[in-house]
Amino acid sequence: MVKVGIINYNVGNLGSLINAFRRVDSEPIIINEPSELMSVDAVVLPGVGSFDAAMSRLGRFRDDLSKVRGSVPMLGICLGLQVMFEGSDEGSLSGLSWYLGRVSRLGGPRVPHIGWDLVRSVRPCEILDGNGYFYFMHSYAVINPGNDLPYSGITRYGDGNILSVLCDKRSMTFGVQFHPEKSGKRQGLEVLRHFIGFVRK
Amino acid sequence: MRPLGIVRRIIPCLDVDANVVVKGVNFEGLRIMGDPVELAARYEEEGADEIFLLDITATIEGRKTFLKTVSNVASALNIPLGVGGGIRNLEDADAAFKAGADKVSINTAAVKNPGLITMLSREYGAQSVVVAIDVKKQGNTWRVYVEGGKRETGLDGIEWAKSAEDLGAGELLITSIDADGTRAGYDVELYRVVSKVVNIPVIASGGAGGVKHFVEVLMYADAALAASVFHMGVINIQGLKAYLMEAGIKVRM
Repeated sequence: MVKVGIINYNVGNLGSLINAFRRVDSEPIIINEPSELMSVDAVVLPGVGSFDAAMSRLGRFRDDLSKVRGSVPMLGICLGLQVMFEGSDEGSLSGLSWYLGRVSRLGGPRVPHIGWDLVRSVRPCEILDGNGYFYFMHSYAVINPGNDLPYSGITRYGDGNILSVLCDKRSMTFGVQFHPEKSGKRQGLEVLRHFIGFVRK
Repeated sequence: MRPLGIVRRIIPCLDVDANVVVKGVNFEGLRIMGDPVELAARYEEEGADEIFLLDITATIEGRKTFLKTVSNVASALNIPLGVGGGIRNLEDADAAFKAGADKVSINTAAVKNPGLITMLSREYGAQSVVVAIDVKKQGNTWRVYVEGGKRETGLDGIEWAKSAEDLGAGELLITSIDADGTRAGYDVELYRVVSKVVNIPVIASGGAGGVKHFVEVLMYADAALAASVFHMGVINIQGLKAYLMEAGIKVRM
Protein backbone atom coordinates (compact mmCIF):
# COMPACT_ATOMS: atom_id res chain seq x y z
CA MET A 1 0.00 0.00 0.00
CA VAL A 2 1.19 3.54 -0.81
CA LYS A 3 2.67 5.22 2.28
CA VAL A 4 1.74 8.90 2.44
CA GLY A 5 3.77 11.03 4.86
CA ILE A 6 1.80 14.00 6.15
CA ILE A 7 4.11 16.63 7.67
CA ASN A 8 2.93 17.74 11.10
CA TYR A 9 3.13 21.50 11.78
CA ASN A 10 1.65 20.77 15.20
CA VAL A 11 -1.37 22.98 14.70
CA GLY A 12 -4.94 22.32 13.58
CA ASN A 13 -6.69 19.18 12.50
CA LEU A 14 -4.92 16.47 10.48
CA GLY A 15 -7.71 13.97 11.20
CA SER A 16 -9.76 14.69 8.07
CA LEU A 17 -6.69 14.33 5.89
CA ILE A 18 -5.77 11.02 7.53
CA ASN A 19 -9.33 9.73 7.10
CA ALA A 20 -9.43 10.89 3.49
CA PHE A 21 -6.16 9.16 2.54
CA ARG A 22 -7.38 5.96 4.18
CA ARG A 23 -10.55 6.19 2.10
CA VAL A 24 -8.51 6.18 -1.10
CA ASP A 25 -6.65 3.03 -0.09
CA SER A 26 -3.36 4.52 1.01
CA GLU A 27 -1.57 4.43 4.33
CA PRO A 28 -1.20 7.90 5.87
CA ILE A 29 1.66 8.43 8.32
CA ILE A 30 2.28 11.56 10.41
CA ILE A 31 5.81 12.88 9.90
CA ASN A 32 7.47 14.68 12.80
CA GLU A 33 11.13 14.27 11.83
CA PRO A 34 12.92 15.08 8.54
CA SER A 35 14.55 11.62 8.48
CA GLU A 36 11.10 10.05 8.14
CA LEU A 37 10.81 11.61 4.66
CA MET A 38 13.07 8.86 3.31
CA SER A 39 10.70 6.06 4.22
CA VAL A 40 7.50 7.23 2.51
CA ASP A 41 6.22 6.96 -1.08
CA ALA A 42 4.65 10.44 -1.14
CA VAL A 43 4.76 13.62 0.94
CA VAL A 44 1.82 15.87 1.81
CA LEU A 45 2.13 19.44 3.06
CA PRO A 46 -1.18 19.94 4.83
CA GLY A 47 -3.34 23.05 4.95
CA VAL A 48 -3.71 23.88 8.60
CA GLY A 49 -2.50 26.88 10.60
CA SER A 50 -0.88 30.07 9.38
CA PHE A 51 2.13 30.77 7.11
CA ASP A 52 4.73 31.54 9.79
CA ALA A 53 3.50 28.77 12.08
CA ALA A 54 3.96 26.29 9.21
CA MET A 55 7.30 27.69 7.98
CA SER A 56 8.84 27.69 11.45
CA ARG A 57 8.04 23.98 11.68
CA LEU A 58 9.18 23.35 8.09
CA GLY A 59 12.55 25.03 8.60
CA ARG A 60 14.12 21.77 9.76
CA PHE A 61 12.61 19.92 6.80
CA ARG A 62 13.79 22.35 4.12
CA ASP A 63 17.01 20.55 3.04
CA ASP A 64 15.58 17.05 3.15
CA LEU A 65 12.45 18.12 1.29
CA SER A 66 14.61 19.57 -1.52
CA LYS A 67 16.61 16.34 -1.62
CA VAL A 68 13.61 14.06 -2.13
CA ARG A 69 11.70 16.48 -4.36
CA GLY A 70 11.64 15.14 -7.91
CA SER A 71 11.83 11.52 -6.84
CA VAL A 72 9.03 11.45 -4.24
CA PRO A 73 5.67 12.89 -5.37
CA MET A 74 4.44 15.80 -3.27
CA LEU A 75 1.06 17.37 -2.71
CA GLY A 76 0.53 20.74 -1.01
CA ILE A 77 -2.93 21.53 0.25
CA CYS A 78 -4.07 25.15 0.79
CA LEU A 79 -1.33 26.60 3.03
CA GLY A 80 0.78 23.60 1.99
CA LEU A 81 0.67 24.93 -1.60
CA GLN A 82 1.40 28.50 -0.46
CA VAL A 83 4.62 27.55 1.36
CA MET A 84 6.09 26.34 -1.97
CA PHE A 85 6.39 30.02 -3.03
CA GLU A 86 8.86 32.70 -1.91
CA GLY A 87 6.81 34.34 0.76
CA SER A 88 3.36 35.50 1.82
CA ASP A 89 1.52 38.62 2.92
CA GLU A 90 0.40 36.50 5.88
CA GLY A 91 3.83 36.18 7.48
CA SER A 92 7.39 37.43 7.58
CA LEU A 93 9.27 34.10 7.16
CA SER A 94 10.42 33.07 3.71
CA GLY A 95 8.79 30.14 1.97
CA LEU A 96 10.39 27.06 0.39
CA SER A 97 10.85 29.12 -2.83
CA TRP A 98 10.35 26.16 -5.17
CA TYR A 99 8.32 28.53 -7.32
CA LEU A 100 8.87 32.20 -8.03
CA GLY A 101 6.21 34.57 -6.80
CA ARG A 102 4.47 35.59 -3.65
CA VAL A 103 1.27 34.69 -1.93
CA SER A 104 -0.99 37.73 -1.56
CA ARG A 105 -4.00 38.62 0.50
CA LEU A 106 -7.25 38.18 -1.41
CA GLY A 107 -8.86 41.40 -2.59
CA GLY A 108 -12.45 40.41 -1.98
CA PRO A 109 -15.41 40.45 -2.42
CA ARG A 110 -15.35 38.57 0.89
CA VAL A 111 -12.20 37.71 2.85
CA PRO A 112 -11.68 34.95 3.91
CA HIS A 113 -12.92 33.08 0.85
CA ILE A 114 -14.95 30.32 2.49
CA GLY A 115 -17.12 27.76 0.78
CA TRP A 116 -17.49 25.83 -2.46
CA ASP A 117 -16.21 27.35 -5.65
CA LEU A 118 -15.54 26.44 -9.25
CA VAL A 119 -12.10 25.24 -10.32
CA ARG A 120 -11.66 25.80 -14.03
CA SER A 121 -9.27 23.37 -15.66
CA VAL A 122 -7.03 25.25 -18.09
CA ARG A 123 -4.57 22.44 -18.84
CA PRO A 124 -4.80 18.71 -18.31
CA CYS A 125 -3.38 17.48 -15.02
CA GLU A 126 -2.96 14.01 -13.53
CA ILE A 127 -4.88 14.92 -10.36
CA LEU A 128 -7.81 16.83 -11.87
CA ASP A 129 -10.83 15.62 -13.88
CA GLY A 130 -11.80 18.85 -15.62
CA ASN A 131 -13.93 21.57 -14.01
CA GLY A 132 -15.51 21.04 -10.62
CA TYR A 133 -16.64 22.50 -7.33
CA PHE A 134 -14.31 22.25 -4.32
CA TYR A 135 -14.27 23.63 -0.77
CA PHE A 136 -12.02 26.64 -0.11
CA MET A 137 -11.14 28.27 3.20
CA HIS A 138 -8.36 30.85 2.88
CA SER A 139 -7.48 34.55 2.95
CA TYR A 140 -4.28 34.28 0.89
CA ALA A 141 -3.43 32.82 -2.50
CA VAL A 142 -1.24 33.16 -5.57
CA ILE A 143 -3.33 35.59 -7.58
CA ASN A 144 -3.24 36.04 -11.38
CA PRO A 145 -0.40 33.51 -11.87
CA GLY A 146 2.03 34.20 -14.71
CA ASN A 147 2.41 31.75 -17.58
CA ASP A 148 5.84 30.69 -16.31
CA LEU A 149 4.12 28.90 -13.43
CA PRO A 150 2.99 25.30 -14.01
CA TYR A 151 -0.63 25.69 -12.97
CA SER A 152 -3.55 23.80 -14.44
CA GLY A 153 -6.55 25.08 -12.50
CA ILE A 154 -7.73 28.58 -11.68
CA THR A 155 -10.68 29.93 -9.73
CA ARG A 156 -12.26 33.31 -10.37
CA TYR A 157 -12.82 35.21 -7.13
CA GLY A 158 -13.73 38.88 -7.21
CA ASP A 159 -11.48 40.66 -9.69
CA GLY A 160 -8.71 38.09 -9.65
CA ASN A 161 -7.85 34.55 -10.66
CA ILE A 162 -6.67 32.31 -7.85
CA LEU A 163 -4.09 29.66 -8.73
CA SER A 164 -6.15 26.70 -7.54
CA VAL A 165 -4.24 23.73 -9.00
CA LEU A 166 -0.47 23.57 -9.40
CA CYS A 167 0.67 20.74 -11.61
CA ASP A 168 4.43 20.29 -12.01
CA LYS A 169 4.71 16.74 -13.23
CA ARG A 170 8.45 17.02 -13.96
CA SER A 171 9.23 17.75 -10.31
CA MET A 172 6.42 15.42 -9.23
CA THR A 173 5.00 18.37 -7.31
CA PHE A 174 1.30 19.14 -7.09
CA GLY A 175 -0.70 21.63 -5.09
CA VAL A 176 -4.31 22.58 -4.57
CA GLN A 177 -5.60 25.78 -2.98
CA PHE A 178 -8.86 24.08 -1.97
CA HIS A 179 -9.30 21.23 0.53
CA PRO A 180 -9.83 17.94 -1.34
CA GLU A 181 -10.36 16.17 2.01
CA LYS A 182 -13.40 18.42 2.67
CA SER A 183 -14.75 18.48 -0.85
CA GLY A 184 -17.05 15.51 -0.75
CA LYS A 185 -16.82 11.84 -1.59
CA ARG A 186 -16.93 12.29 -5.33
CA GLN A 187 -15.00 15.42 -6.42
CA GLY A 188 -12.70 15.80 -3.41
CA LEU A 189 -11.59 12.23 -2.83
CA GLU A 190 -11.12 11.80 -6.58
CA VAL A 191 -8.22 14.31 -6.49
CA LEU A 192 -6.50 12.29 -3.75
CA ARG A 193 -7.24 9.04 -5.61
CA HIS A 194 -5.57 10.46 -8.73
CA PHE A 195 -2.58 11.60 -6.69
CA ILE A 196 -2.19 8.11 -5.21
CA GLY A 197 -2.57 6.70 -8.73
CA PHE A 198 0.32 8.93 -9.88
CA VAL A 199 2.45 7.75 -6.93
CA ARG A 200 1.83 4.09 -7.88
CA LYS A 201 3.13 4.70 -11.45
CA MET B 1 -27.17 43.09 -1.08
CA ARG B 2 -24.26 40.70 -1.09
CA PRO B 3 -22.66 39.89 -4.46
CA LEU B 4 -24.76 37.19 -6.10
CA GLY B 5 -21.75 35.61 -7.81
CA ILE B 6 -20.62 34.16 -4.49
CA VAL B 7 -21.67 30.56 -3.99
CA ARG B 8 -24.02 30.37 -0.99
CA ARG B 9 -23.88 27.59 1.60
CA ILE B 10 -26.52 25.53 3.40
CA ILE B 11 -25.42 24.39 6.84
CA PRO B 12 -27.40 21.95 8.97
CA CYS B 13 -26.70 22.54 12.64
CA LEU B 14 -26.74 19.79 15.24
CA ASP B 15 -27.27 21.00 18.82
CA VAL B 16 -25.64 18.21 20.76
CA ASP B 17 -26.23 17.28 24.38
CA ALA B 18 -23.25 14.95 25.06
CA ASN B 19 -24.14 12.38 22.39
CA VAL B 20 -27.65 13.12 21.15
CA VAL B 21 -29.01 15.83 18.91
CA VAL B 22 -31.65 18.03 20.54
CA LYS B 23 -33.56 21.12 19.49
CA GLY B 24 -35.50 23.78 21.38
CA VAL B 25 -37.65 26.83 20.63
CA ASN B 26 -36.26 30.29 21.49
CA PHE B 27 -33.36 28.42 23.15
CA GLU B 28 -35.71 26.44 25.49
CA GLY B 29 -37.80 23.24 25.67
CA LEU B 30 -35.35 20.69 24.27
CA ARG B 31 -36.51 17.61 22.34
CA ILE B 32 -34.38 14.69 21.18
CA MET B 33 -33.87 14.63 17.40
CA GLY B 34 -31.52 11.72 16.79
CA ASP B 35 -27.98 10.42 16.48
CA PRO B 36 -25.36 13.00 15.42
CA VAL B 37 -23.32 10.67 13.20
CA GLU B 38 -26.39 9.37 11.35
CA LEU B 39 -27.85 12.83 10.86
CA ALA B 40 -24.54 14.40 9.73
CA ALA B 41 -23.87 11.61 7.22
CA ARG B 42 -27.40 11.88 5.87
CA TYR B 43 -27.07 15.64 5.41
CA GLU B 44 -23.77 15.25 3.56
CA GLU B 45 -25.48 12.77 1.24
CA GLU B 46 -28.36 15.24 0.69
CA GLY B 47 -25.93 17.98 -0.37
CA ALA B 48 -25.15 19.94 2.80
CA ASP B 49 -22.15 22.24 2.24
CA GLU B 50 -20.79 21.83 5.75
CA ILE B 51 -22.03 20.77 9.18
CA PHE B 52 -22.03 22.56 12.52
CA LEU B 53 -22.01 20.80 15.89
CA LEU B 54 -22.89 22.93 18.89
CA ASP B 55 -22.23 21.60 22.39
CA ILE B 56 -25.07 22.51 24.72
CA THR B 57 -24.03 20.29 27.63
CA ALA B 58 -23.03 22.12 30.77
CA THR B 59 -21.08 19.41 32.63
CA ILE B 60 -17.42 18.38 32.41
CA GLU B 61 -18.39 14.75 31.84
CA GLY B 62 -20.73 15.89 29.05
CA ARG B 63 -17.88 17.84 27.47
CA LYS B 64 -15.72 14.72 27.20
CA THR B 65 -18.57 12.82 25.60
CA PHE B 66 -19.15 15.74 23.24
CA LEU B 67 -15.51 15.68 22.04
CA LYS B 68 -15.93 11.97 21.35
CA THR B 69 -19.06 12.83 19.36
CA VAL B 70 -17.05 15.43 17.39
CA SER B 71 -14.49 12.81 16.51
CA ASN B 72 -17.16 10.27 15.50
CA VAL B 73 -18.93 12.81 13.29
CA ALA B 74 -15.66 14.06 11.77
CA SER B 75 -14.62 10.55 10.77
CA ALA B 76 -17.95 10.01 9.02
CA LEU B 77 -17.80 13.25 7.00
CA ASN B 78 -16.14 14.37 3.75
CA ILE B 79 -17.24 17.99 4.14
CA PRO B 80 -16.13 20.64 6.66
CA LEU B 81 -17.17 20.51 10.29
CA GLY B 82 -17.61 23.54 12.52
CA VAL B 83 -17.65 23.04 16.27
CA GLY B 84 -18.90 25.44 18.92
CA GLY B 85 -20.24 25.71 22.43
CA GLY B 86 -18.11 25.69 25.57
CA ILE B 87 -14.87 26.85 23.93
CA ARG B 88 -13.30 29.18 26.48
CA ASN B 89 -9.60 29.28 25.63
CA LEU B 90 -6.84 28.09 23.34
CA GLU B 91 -6.77 24.62 24.96
CA ASP B 92 -10.51 24.07 24.39
CA ALA B 93 -10.10 25.15 20.77
CA ASP B 94 -7.11 22.87 20.34
CA ALA B 95 -9.08 19.93 21.75
CA ALA B 96 -11.89 20.62 19.27
CA PHE B 97 -9.44 20.80 16.33
CA LYS B 98 -7.68 17.63 17.46
CA ALA B 99 -11.07 15.89 17.67
CA GLY B 100 -11.67 16.78 14.01
CA ALA B 101 -13.11 20.30 13.82
CA ASP B 102 -12.13 22.31 10.75
CA LYS B 103 -13.31 25.53 12.36
CA VAL B 104 -14.38 26.52 15.84
CA SER B 105 -16.94 29.06 16.95
CA ILE B 106 -16.65 31.10 20.12
CA ASN B 107 -19.43 33.11 21.69
CA THR B 108 -19.46 33.92 25.43
CA ALA B 109 -15.67 33.62 25.69
CA ALA B 110 -15.20 36.13 22.85
CA VAL B 111 -17.32 38.71 24.68
CA LYS B 112 -15.50 38.11 27.96
CA ASN B 113 -12.07 38.06 26.36
CA PRO B 114 -12.02 39.61 22.86
CA GLY B 115 -8.26 38.96 22.67
CA LEU B 116 -9.09 35.25 22.30
CA ILE B 117 -10.38 35.95 18.78
CA THR B 118 -7.00 37.42 17.79
CA MET B 119 -5.07 34.64 19.48
CA LEU B 120 -7.03 31.86 17.72
CA SER B 121 -6.84 33.69 14.41
CA ARG B 122 -3.03 34.01 14.57
CA GLU B 123 -2.57 30.38 15.51
CA TYR B 124 -5.09 28.66 13.23
CA GLY B 125 -5.73 31.30 10.57
CA ALA B 126 -8.82 33.52 10.39
CA GLN B 127 -10.60 31.01 8.13
CA SER B 128 -10.90 28.61 11.07
CA VAL B 129 -12.29 31.11 13.58
CA VAL B 130 -16.01 31.79 13.70
CA VAL B 131 -17.45 34.28 16.16
CA ALA B 132 -21.01 33.37 17.12
CA ILE B 133 -23.29 36.20 18.16
CA ASP B 134 -26.76 35.67 19.71
CA VAL B 135 -29.00 38.73 19.56
CA LYS B 136 -32.47 39.87 20.61
CA LYS B 137 -34.17 42.78 18.93
CA GLN B 138 -34.77 45.88 21.02
CA GLY B 139 -36.50 48.67 19.11
CA ASN B 140 -34.30 49.29 16.10
CA THR B 141 -31.22 47.65 17.55
CA TRP B 142 -30.06 44.16 18.38
CA ARG B 143 -28.66 43.38 21.82
CA VAL B 144 -25.99 40.72 22.33
CA TYR B 145 -26.79 37.87 24.75
CA VAL B 146 -24.33 35.30 26.06
CA GLU B 147 -24.40 32.07 28.09
CA GLY B 148 -26.91 30.43 25.75
CA GLY B 149 -29.14 33.50 25.56
CA LYS B 150 -29.44 33.85 29.33
CA ARG B 151 -27.39 36.98 30.00
CA GLU B 152 -27.69 40.36 28.33
CA THR B 153 -24.36 42.06 27.70
CA GLY B 154 -25.34 45.62 26.82
CA LEU B 155 -23.35 45.24 23.60
CA ASP B 156 -24.87 46.34 20.31
CA GLY B 157 -24.96 43.37 17.91
CA ILE B 158 -23.89 45.30 14.82
CA GLU B 159 -21.02 47.05 16.58
CA TRP B 160 -19.85 43.77 18.12
CA ALA B 161 -19.95 42.11 14.69
CA LYS B 162 -17.65 44.83 13.32
CA SER B 163 -15.27 44.53 16.31
CA ALA B 164 -15.12 40.75 15.93
CA GLU B 165 -14.07 41.21 12.30
CA ASP B 166 -11.40 43.75 13.29
CA LEU B 167 -10.08 41.38 15.96
CA GLY B 168 -9.53 38.63 13.39
CA ALA B 169 -12.73 36.58 13.09
CA GLY B 170 -12.98 34.79 9.75
CA GLU B 171 -16.74 34.33 9.82
CA LEU B 172 -19.74 35.39 11.86
CA LEU B 173 -22.55 33.07 12.89
CA ILE B 174 -25.38 35.37 13.89
CA THR B 175 -28.46 33.90 15.56
CA SER B 176 -31.67 35.77 16.23
CA ILE B 177 -32.93 34.44 19.57
CA ASP B 178 -36.39 35.84 18.77
CA ALA B 179 -36.60 33.80 15.57
CA ASP B 180 -34.84 30.63 16.78
CA GLY B 181 -36.97 27.52 16.40
CA THR B 182 -40.12 29.48 15.45
CA ARG B 183 -39.98 28.57 11.73
CA ALA B 184 -41.39 32.04 11.04
CA GLY B 185 -38.46 33.10 8.86
CA TYR B 186 -35.00 34.58 9.42
CA ASP B 187 -34.63 38.12 10.76
CA VAL B 188 -33.75 39.36 7.26
CA GLU B 189 -33.34 42.97 8.40
CA LEU B 190 -30.58 41.90 10.82
CA TYR B 191 -28.50 40.34 8.04
CA ARG B 192 -29.20 43.22 5.67
CA VAL B 193 -27.71 45.62 8.23
CA VAL B 194 -24.77 43.35 9.25
CA SER B 195 -23.76 42.59 5.68
CA LYS B 196 -23.31 46.30 5.00
CA VAL B 197 -20.91 46.65 7.92
CA VAL B 198 -18.62 43.61 7.65
CA ASN B 199 -16.60 42.10 4.83
CA ILE B 200 -16.23 38.56 6.22
CA PRO B 201 -18.77 35.82 5.48
CA VAL B 202 -21.95 35.96 7.55
CA ILE B 203 -23.89 32.81 8.45
CA ALA B 204 -27.56 33.48 9.24
CA SER B 205 -29.25 31.38 11.88
CA GLY B 206 -32.67 31.16 13.51
CA GLY B 207 -36.15 30.98 12.06
CA ALA B 208 -35.98 28.79 8.94
CA GLY B 209 -39.40 27.31 8.24
CA GLY B 210 -39.73 27.05 4.46
CA VAL B 211 -37.63 27.26 1.32
CA LYS B 212 -38.70 30.88 0.70
CA HIS B 213 -37.05 31.92 3.96
CA PHE B 214 -33.68 30.74 2.60
CA VAL B 215 -34.10 32.77 -0.58
CA GLU B 216 -34.93 35.89 1.46
CA VAL B 217 -31.98 35.64 3.80
CA LEU B 218 -29.39 34.52 1.23
CA MET B 219 -29.81 37.83 -0.58
CA TYR B 220 -27.78 39.24 2.33
CA ALA B 221 -26.06 36.35 4.11
CA ASP B 222 -23.34 34.09 2.65
CA ALA B 223 -24.69 30.99 4.30
CA ALA B 224 -27.87 29.88 6.03
CA LEU B 225 -27.86 27.57 9.00
CA ALA B 226 -30.90 25.62 10.13
CA ALA B 227 -31.73 22.74 12.41
CA SER B 228 -35.29 21.58 13.02
CA VAL B 229 -36.54 21.88 9.42
CA PHE B 230 -33.84 19.39 8.42
CA HIS B 231 -34.10 17.12 11.48
CA MET B 232 -37.87 16.80 11.14
CA GLY B 233 -37.81 16.32 7.39
CA VAL B 234 -39.74 19.52 6.62
CA ILE B 235 -37.08 20.51 4.08
CA ASN B 236 -34.84 18.24 2.02
CA ILE B 237 -31.47 19.88 1.28
CA GLN B 238 -31.27 18.69 -2.31
CA GLY B 239 -34.73 20.05 -3.02
CA LEU B 240 -33.90 23.30 -1.25
CA LYS B 241 -30.77 23.81 -3.35
CA ALA B 242 -32.64 23.17 -6.59
CA TYR B 243 -35.18 25.77 -5.48
CA LEU B 244 -32.39 28.28 -4.69
CA MET B 245 -30.82 27.78 -8.13
CA GLU B 246 -34.23 28.45 -9.73
CA ALA B 247 -34.48 31.63 -7.68
CA GLY B 248 -31.09 32.80 -9.00
CA ILE B 249 -29.04 32.07 -5.90
CA LYS B 250 -25.80 30.29 -6.71
CA VAL B 251 -25.23 27.05 -4.79
CA ARG B 252 -23.15 23.93 -5.35
CA MET B 253 -25.35 21.20 -6.80
